Amino acid sequence: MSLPSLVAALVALPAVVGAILILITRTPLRNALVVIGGVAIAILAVATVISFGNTSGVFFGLPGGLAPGKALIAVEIALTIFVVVISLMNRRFLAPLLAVAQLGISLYLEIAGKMPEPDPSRLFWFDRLSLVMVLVVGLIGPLICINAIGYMRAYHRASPMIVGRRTVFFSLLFVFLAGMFGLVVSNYLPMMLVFWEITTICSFLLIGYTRTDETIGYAFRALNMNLLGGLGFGLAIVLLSNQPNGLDLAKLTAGPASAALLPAIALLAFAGITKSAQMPFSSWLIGAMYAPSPTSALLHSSTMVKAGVFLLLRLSPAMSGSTVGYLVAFVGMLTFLFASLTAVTEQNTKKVLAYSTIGSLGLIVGCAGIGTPELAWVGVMIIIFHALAKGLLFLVIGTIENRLYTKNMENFDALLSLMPRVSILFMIGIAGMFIAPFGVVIAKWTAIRAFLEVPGAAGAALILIMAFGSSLTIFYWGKLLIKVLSARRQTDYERSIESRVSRYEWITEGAMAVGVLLAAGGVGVISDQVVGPYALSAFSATPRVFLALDPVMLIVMLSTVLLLPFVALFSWLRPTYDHADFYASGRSANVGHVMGAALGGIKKVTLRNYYLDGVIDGALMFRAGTVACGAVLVAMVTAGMVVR
Amino acid sequence: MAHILLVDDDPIAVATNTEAIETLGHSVTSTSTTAEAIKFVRTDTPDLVVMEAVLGGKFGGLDLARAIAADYPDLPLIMLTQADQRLTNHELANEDREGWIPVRRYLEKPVLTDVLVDEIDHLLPEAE
Repeated sequence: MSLPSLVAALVALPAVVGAILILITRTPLRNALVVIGGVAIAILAVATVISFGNTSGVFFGLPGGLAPGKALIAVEIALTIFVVVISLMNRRFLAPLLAVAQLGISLYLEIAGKMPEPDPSRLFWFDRLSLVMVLVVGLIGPLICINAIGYMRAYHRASPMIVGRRTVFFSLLFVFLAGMFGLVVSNYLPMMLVFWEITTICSFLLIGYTRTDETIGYAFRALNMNLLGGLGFGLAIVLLSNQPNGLDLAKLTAGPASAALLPAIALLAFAGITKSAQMPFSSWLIGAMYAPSPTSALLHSSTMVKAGVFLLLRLSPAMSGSTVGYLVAFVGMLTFLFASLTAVTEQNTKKVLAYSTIGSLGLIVGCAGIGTPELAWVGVMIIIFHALAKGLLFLVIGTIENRLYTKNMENFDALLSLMPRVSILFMIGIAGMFIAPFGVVIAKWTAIRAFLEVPGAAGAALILIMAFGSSLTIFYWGKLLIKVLSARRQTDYERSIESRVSRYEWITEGAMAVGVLLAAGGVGVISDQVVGPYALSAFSATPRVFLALDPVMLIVMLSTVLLLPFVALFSWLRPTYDHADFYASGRSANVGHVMGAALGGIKKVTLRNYYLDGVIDGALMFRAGTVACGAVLVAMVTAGMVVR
Repeated sequence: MAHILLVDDDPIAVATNTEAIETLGHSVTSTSTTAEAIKFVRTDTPDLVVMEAVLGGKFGGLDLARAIAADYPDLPLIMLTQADQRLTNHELANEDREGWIPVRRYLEKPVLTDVLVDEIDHLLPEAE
């Protein structure tokens, strides 16, 4: 099959699977279709990449030369009606306003005849960045869908009174993938906007899955913020519609943008910042943590937030060197710093993962804003490795959460002796985020080198933020790793917990862990064959070496990391220590580390301060970041409009 | 502070959980039979019930939960159980359905007491 038909199939297949899933209410049938559909999508994604081969980028239209015509506006009308109806049913009024405003823009362009006809042979753009995204969405996405079979069963077992509709849930996961595939291969901006909104609405529905007041609130927060970004996207399309080739993404981003294009670039960057949950729009992604874990895994690793940074990386050559670009970079880097500060104080492991995602995305945004080949390379490397490691971590947290009934890091002490196999998967994920030779660390190191070349005070500020932010990430990952690695004697009864993990979870999490290790081993190939050539062609730059890696060193580092769990298991097998409960003087109220205080009060005693209580105020840091990034964002949009 | 009813016929579980819950400042009443539990709920309605599914060797706890929920739909119930190995295929197929048993949380033992205490705190209606 040719590349255009493969790409069309890639968008259509998940949508079809999603549509069939909504009709299936019988669990075994649904499970079978999820597995078959997932495997088919993965095969199709790989076939698409093979068919693309090693060219630098191709453009094509719909099979048979079809034009999207009025289909785009029809989908937009349908999505808007859906948003309006569901919002009014829940008495929310901001979302319908935003959705209607955006539809109004599209209808105005359409009716006034201001929308230029797209070139039917340049609707889609497939290059190495699309290739990376197709693999991320097409391989990690299906694994998350299959994992969800096991997760959702355990989830509903533990909370029998949650009236979630699993039929809709699985259907949405697949539609989400279809939206992402469409988004990452779009070249015609109005078409990309439609896919953009599909992902917004899917995430809204997935976040509100349990339909409690709490989750409905978070779902609408996500909807409002992302619709605001969508409105920015729509306004950008208005501004670009009267520019020659303005709606052709590849031509728009072929080089530094002219003054006439900068306002639209700034608005598109604004849309990217909302979707990638950068401050001041981070709170929607934190709220999304109350959704079932496969939703989190999907939002964080292969879809949604990655769509935001994907657009920003696409815009990177156009932003390069402009005030807009610098300000975008500072939104990202400040988000990285403040999200890392907040993460240190958090005990809820899912939230730590969420802040870490926001921070990692902040780094990508920082790289995209500055816009040099090295930094584009860094951005794509982080996308790949973050997607693998964070996807794995969220799935593992889901597995733990459904068996220990807790997400609180404080309860993860000695996880290695309680759930040894799950812990090893967990550690591979953690290692993927912060230990050499895994890609995120290599990318950070390259980023520091590239920031050194940014002239003046801006460069110095970026380096400082990078240094402080990174040290904080090491602190919170290290803390989690140490908790998991500690060992304690467990009874057989306690160790029976692990036998409850379903095979869907074992297979998918095992596959993701293997993926993390393979990607780390193949980092040289990924850099030389895919990410490096992408960075060079996006910036039309002269060839250079992005990553010089000594294979012996790589193997030594990888095997050292793999030894970690075995060291812990070894010490656990030879218990030459006595396990003693802690002793503190005073009147002990009971065994649960609670001591009697003066005047009959009781006080929980903590013997450690992993969360920097009294040193860093997490909530304050989050607010400070929101205010600071909000100010920079306003400056960015203003600069785009006025300063040029 | 809230009043918690603990229904379990395993004295060790009762002792451990009572101690953990009392730490929070709640008062605990424990019983080991479904008959006593129902009587207690009728006369002296607690704020929350933690119950084992297997009582007296049978799945008396499941019926107890259904009986309490029918009369007191707003009373939060936590099932804390080791019934899993003993559930029949019929029950297993059943439990895949949402709302198969009217409890807020169905937790399989062993559960850390810290976790149980967190769950109780989370489910108790806001303290006045």
